[in-house]
Amino acid sequence: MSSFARRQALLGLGALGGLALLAPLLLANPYSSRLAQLLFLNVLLASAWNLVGGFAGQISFGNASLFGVGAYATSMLWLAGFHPVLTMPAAAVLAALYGVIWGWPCLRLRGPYFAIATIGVAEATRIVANHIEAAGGASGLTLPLEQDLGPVLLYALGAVLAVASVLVSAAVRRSRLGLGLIALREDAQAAAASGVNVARQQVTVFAITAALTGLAGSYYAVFTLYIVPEKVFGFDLSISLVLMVLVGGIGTVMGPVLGAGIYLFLEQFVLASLADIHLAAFGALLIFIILLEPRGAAPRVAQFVRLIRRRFG
Amino acid sequence: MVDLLSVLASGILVGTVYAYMAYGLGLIYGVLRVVNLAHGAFLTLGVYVTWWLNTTFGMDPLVSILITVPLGFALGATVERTLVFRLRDSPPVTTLLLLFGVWLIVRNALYLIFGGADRSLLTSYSLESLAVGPLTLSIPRLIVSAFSLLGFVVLALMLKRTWSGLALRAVAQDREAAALSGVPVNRVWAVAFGIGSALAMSAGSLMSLFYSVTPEFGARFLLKSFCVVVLGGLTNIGGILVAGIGLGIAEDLTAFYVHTGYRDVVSFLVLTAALVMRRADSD
Repeated sequence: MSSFARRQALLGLGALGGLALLAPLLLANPYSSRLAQLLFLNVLLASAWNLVGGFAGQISFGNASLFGVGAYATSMLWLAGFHPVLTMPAAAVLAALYGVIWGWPCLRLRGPYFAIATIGVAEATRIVANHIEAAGGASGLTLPLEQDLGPVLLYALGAVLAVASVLVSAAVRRSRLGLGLIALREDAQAAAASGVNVARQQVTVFAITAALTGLAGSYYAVFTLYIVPEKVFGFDLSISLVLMVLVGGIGTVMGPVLGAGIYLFLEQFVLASLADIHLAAFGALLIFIILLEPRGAAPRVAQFVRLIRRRFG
Repeated sequence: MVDLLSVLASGILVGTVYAYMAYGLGLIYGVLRVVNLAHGAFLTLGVYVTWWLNTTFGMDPLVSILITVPLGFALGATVERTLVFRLRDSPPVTTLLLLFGVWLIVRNALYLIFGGADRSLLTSYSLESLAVGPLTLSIPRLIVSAFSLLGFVVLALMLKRTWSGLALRAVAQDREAAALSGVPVNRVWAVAFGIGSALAMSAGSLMSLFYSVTPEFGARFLLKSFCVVVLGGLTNIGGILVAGIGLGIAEDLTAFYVHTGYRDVVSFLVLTAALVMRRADSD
């Protein structure tokens, strides 16, 4: 085992241990356990989005299409009698498959062209999902409430998924694959000239993004027990991922984690009291970040941590 | 046979409006290299302003174009001056996200002012139709189609015959060369964004004649505009017209022979396919 892998494994176990210690606090009441579930969901989604969006600079507005596939795969298999946790690998595989099907042609596009193509794919998927009667059509699917996994298992499941997604993100960042993506983001022609197989690397990483996003959809279905196409395939979901990562710090490993937390806080505590203007508030936040803090909160936090270390270390 | 003919006729009529609606997006991209994600906001705003003028003052939607054009120009130029301008040297994706922020704010403002209910207006000729041989053509669609074509002619003349048009085309071709030859590039950018937005808002005025509107109206038509512009070539007037009509026909054929619910799927799939085919090798 390389030293990197050992260190990552230790960090992962440490994070899980920390989350286990926090569990009594977060499982105190239904609201706090829902918050924990949403936080894990956001971390998973944002880390997954950042693999291609951050490292390769390919902004996707279409990740809801992958989330929805995961959510529907789990829901339909669950309703067919499988245990929900056992459906999760299927959700990941199906989402990855769908991701490769549309990612393979679309990832040959760059920048704004890729972004627009993803909107087209995701919206087409949403409309089709609304018309599939076998999957409940526009009214969606209600899952067996009596088979709810319970807050403790859901917490543990979410914690494992969230920590795993961050570890995957760190591993991709360090790998040959990740370096290729970053080279591609900085200069596509130079990357191709230096022997980076631009197309294949992007599709491979996008398959990982898709699998993780599918898992997120699956987890969402398992804890909300009710899915509708307008929500799980919705454009708003795709947008929220972009916002999370931008807020936290695009193209870094910890940025999406930070952004997932900040976004949840804003959504639950600030915007709940501003329900009438929440779209405008998100719009203003987006404009603010792009004009004034394009690197998000991560560099500031890193600066702060260094300051603390110097003072006390 | 009559079925097919009337589907084709209605596709052509809708298609000309699609082309007109999309042209502003292409113009802005051509001159500024900016993907205007706020295009849908201007379209929606155009429909609402027209609806409001009609229900409050009884103004005819076609007359309200006289208001939506200057209003759109002023709003667009302001957005360019205050926001887009600051990002002129950033990667195109950042401007795209910025303009998405503008769209969110406009959508929210529309919810606050008009609520989420469907709004539609009725004029004395809204339900009239004209019999041409075996076909029945709706009068508002004919009028809107004629106005769209007229708009195209005016625009083409402006681009070909006026100094501003020349400056726009010069900046679209080569920003630096244009600047060196004394074209005020900054002003041209604001003008181009203004014209693009004016086109979008006036397209909204025309579309109010046969679409109802909610604050979410823009999303669908933004994607259709992309579709037309990508298929037709970004600033190629003739290409855009053909692409608009092609999309209109393809949609109406799908709605008629497959399922009305799949009408929009056509444009989204065509959009993605067109992007992949056009851009894959050139970039």
